[in-house]
Amino acid sequence: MMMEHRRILVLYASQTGNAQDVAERIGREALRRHYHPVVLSLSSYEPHWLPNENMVIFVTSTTGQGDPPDAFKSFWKFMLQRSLTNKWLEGVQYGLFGLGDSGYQKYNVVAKKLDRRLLDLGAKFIVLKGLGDDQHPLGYEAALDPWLDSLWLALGEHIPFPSGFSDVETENACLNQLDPPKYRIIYYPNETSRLYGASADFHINLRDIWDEHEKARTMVESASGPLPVSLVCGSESYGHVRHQPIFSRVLCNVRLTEEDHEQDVRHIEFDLRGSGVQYSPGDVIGMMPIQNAKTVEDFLKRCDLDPDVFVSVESTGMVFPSSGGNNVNIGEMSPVRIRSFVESVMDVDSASPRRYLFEVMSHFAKAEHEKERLQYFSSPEGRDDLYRYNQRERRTLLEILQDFPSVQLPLEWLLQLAPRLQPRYFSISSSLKLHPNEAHITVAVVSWITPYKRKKTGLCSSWLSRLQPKQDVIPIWMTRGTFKHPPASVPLILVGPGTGCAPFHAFVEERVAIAATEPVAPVLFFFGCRKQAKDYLYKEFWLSCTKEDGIMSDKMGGGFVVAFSRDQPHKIYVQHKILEEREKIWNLLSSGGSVFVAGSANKMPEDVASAFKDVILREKKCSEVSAASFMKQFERLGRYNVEVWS
Amino acid sequence: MAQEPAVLLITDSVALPGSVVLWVLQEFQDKVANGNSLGLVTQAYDLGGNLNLKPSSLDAVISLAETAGFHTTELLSRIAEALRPGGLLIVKEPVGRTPSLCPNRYADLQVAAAVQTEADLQRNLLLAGFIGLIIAEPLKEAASPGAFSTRNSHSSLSTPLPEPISENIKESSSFAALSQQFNSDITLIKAQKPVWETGAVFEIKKPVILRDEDVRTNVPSTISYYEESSTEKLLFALKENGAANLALPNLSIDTDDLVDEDALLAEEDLERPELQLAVDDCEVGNSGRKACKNCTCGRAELEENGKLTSEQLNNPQSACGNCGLGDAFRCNSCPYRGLPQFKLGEKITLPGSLLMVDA
Repeated sequence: MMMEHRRILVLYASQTGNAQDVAERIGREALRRHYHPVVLSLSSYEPHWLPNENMVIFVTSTTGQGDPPDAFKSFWKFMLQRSLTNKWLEGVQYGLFGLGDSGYQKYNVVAKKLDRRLLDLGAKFIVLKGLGDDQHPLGYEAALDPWLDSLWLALGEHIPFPSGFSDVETENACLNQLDPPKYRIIYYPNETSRLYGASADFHINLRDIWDEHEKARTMVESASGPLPVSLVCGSESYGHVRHQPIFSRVLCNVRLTEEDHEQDVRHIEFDLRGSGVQYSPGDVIGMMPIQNAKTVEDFLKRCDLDPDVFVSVESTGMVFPSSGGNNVNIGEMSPVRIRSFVESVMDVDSASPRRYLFEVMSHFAKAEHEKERLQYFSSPEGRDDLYRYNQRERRTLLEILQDFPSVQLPLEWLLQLAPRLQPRYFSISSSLKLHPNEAHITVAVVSWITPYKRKKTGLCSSWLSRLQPKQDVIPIWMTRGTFKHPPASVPLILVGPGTGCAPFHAFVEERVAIAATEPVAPVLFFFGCRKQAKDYLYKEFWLSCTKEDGIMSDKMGGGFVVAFSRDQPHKIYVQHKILEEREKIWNLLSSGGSVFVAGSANKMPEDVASAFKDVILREKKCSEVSAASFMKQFERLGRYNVEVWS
Repeated sequence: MAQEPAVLLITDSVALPGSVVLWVLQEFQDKVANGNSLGLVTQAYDLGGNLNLKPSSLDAVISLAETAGFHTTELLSRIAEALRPGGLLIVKEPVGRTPSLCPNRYADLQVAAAVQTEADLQRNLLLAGFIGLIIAEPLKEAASPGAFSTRNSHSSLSTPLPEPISENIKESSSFAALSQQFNSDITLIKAQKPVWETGAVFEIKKPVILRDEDVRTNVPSTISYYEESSTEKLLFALKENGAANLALPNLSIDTDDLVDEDALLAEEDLERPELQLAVDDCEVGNSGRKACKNCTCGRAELEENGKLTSEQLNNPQSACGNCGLGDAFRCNSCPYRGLPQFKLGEKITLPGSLLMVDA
């Protein structure tokens, strides 16, 4: 085909959608420059087609622990095969952009490894790899914009413009034209709400609402592109996945921290009777947060949407030819009310949208000053101000629309540009052995003040804090976490400051139950909090395990060590305590012990890892390098596990 | 005398000039000594490709054809079989420039022979298993008609051509006429049979893989093994021939046979950027961001200026005109930052979510 040489394959591996956003942006800009982009998730691309490609752009992201997104894993396994020669990708040209966070030790390692491997296999890059950094004040876009500039330059050299188009023209065109939208909305004016009348049975209503929400979500997802890996093969779960949740009643909802303490931490218990579900310590509960009813109403009014109109959503397929989504046959999916899309798909008042929203809004602004301001925000010059207004303030879609009242976006654009409502996951802090038919979680309610002095709270955690015990029923599902509780014969070293103690509460409960009938190996637990009197979570439980022959007692070789960071002028954290207990740690490690670290991100995991390395250094009396490789070996053998969340 | 020929001279003409035979004898004198003889086959087209020869018995074969298309793959394979490993072959044949049929000199003999191009001849030689082809081609500006130079199909070496043979060509003026008339050239190729015999087997050794020291028992456990990798060769061959370049999809990937991904990273890859944080961009914490006691970044000043008086709340004015439009239009130092939109002169009501007091 004549235009085949203008084909650019854009492959992305995305966990939270950021890499997908970047990939789609590359696709849009490529289209404007008269290339033929094909944008695909790596999960739907067969790696053995790679040698046939002429030009490939990779977009990858690295999670906190240096792990690749799920979509990347089987692709990567193929790429690592020894049997691939260093000429396998000869003739393939590529560019690579990685998204990462330099706050973590393994900064952007997925992109770096992929870059090396591609070179080893004989491919050639046309631009140096770009590395986006969440830690940068302006986020990854600070690195993305200049990288894109160099990408278009390089592409212009390798794939020259078709005759008749000039470079200058195209650049100008980029600023002025509105791209075709990703979705097409089909309206069903005659459809009436025959199913959704008020029903006396409260539970049927809940299920109906959930079903409708799920339908809306699935419809949008399948119109967006290849089904995300998590939907297709899923993380390991027990049959209860997002699609078939357990409708669980809240049994109790108790504040664990003192009333005058700045942070509100909740202990919430869920009823699992009748569901037949089993879980293990280390597993995780998933749920979709419910958005505030008033904000949803405000949004519907602001956008002039009739919530009870039935629509269906499909992909226009015009945006990225030959990559267009898994178009579900319209006939198979019955239409859904607009309200459901707003409630369950669009995050209207919590997450911040991307710069592209402002660009599109500028095309729909009727007031001149608004149009100018929006264009300014979308330009490179306005990037800093946009950051201050949007990302740093956590400006929500509703707030932005209220700040630009002359803009009226059509529904298909709202769907495309609104941040996707994400499920939230919480470590289960109970053991079925001690609490049959129940699952408990430990939730810190997120709240903060923005630089402009506005108070913000986390959507899911504040919703959970308001749940009424014995009354509210919410849909939840179980899924595997990163931790797997080892057999009872394995000694444990646990590090879990703050809400990081949640999975370990489950571990210890499990062991306590087993200890009634069998011998169990000891547990050494490092806990940390701010003040002994204010946020000492589960104090009685931990202390009870240290008495007598408890699994955390000194007598049995275990221990319980707490670091109170703010009870004295200087800060004491878990890593300091770890170094103090190095002898005990070394004993446990030498008898086959495993280490688990959990908690909020920031510097804790790094500092803890460093502390363990110091322990090895001192106890084994070896070199720095040797200790580092010891740690690496531990990790590889599954004896040093980390799970952090932000 | 039942002596086995060590060198065979084949031609499809009725007779060969003596000078050619003498040259061959001289050239291959070491081979033709010790009781081994030089065999001569004339009118070889009559053989129909049947050479009654023992396999691996000849040191060299010189085959001079005047018929185009004489050296078929079949004939060449027979010759290859008869040659010892490492044996030499010299082939001469008229070739066409374009792969088209042109009348054969011996058309009346009904020897059907499609004229082959030099490339065809080379291919036949390759398919028959010959390597190291050295090709002679007519010089463009020939001092003497029929003068040849050689080129190696893989390098640009030139070796002098045996005189008698080129003379032989020279003398056959009929060839010159033929080549002019029918747009054909004469080519001479020297080839060699590979040093190994067909059917030989040898191993490709792979490097040893070592496992790290076993941490618990302190005993290094090493696993070393050798492997043949035919896939690698196949892939390489495919690429060379420009065939569709597909890696064979590995349906079950052997997890032991993966490159160590951590080894892909060099020291410098583990570095992280030293971020020059923008002057006024501290992490937003729970208590919000206040100016430090000895503020150097200017935040303290900003806060001083930014504090709203009750006067400003009751009767908001805006010099720039943007303050009332909302945060999207306010500048950095606007005192009304964080407040909702308002109309000039109208009292501002603070929403409950706003903290005006320094927390």
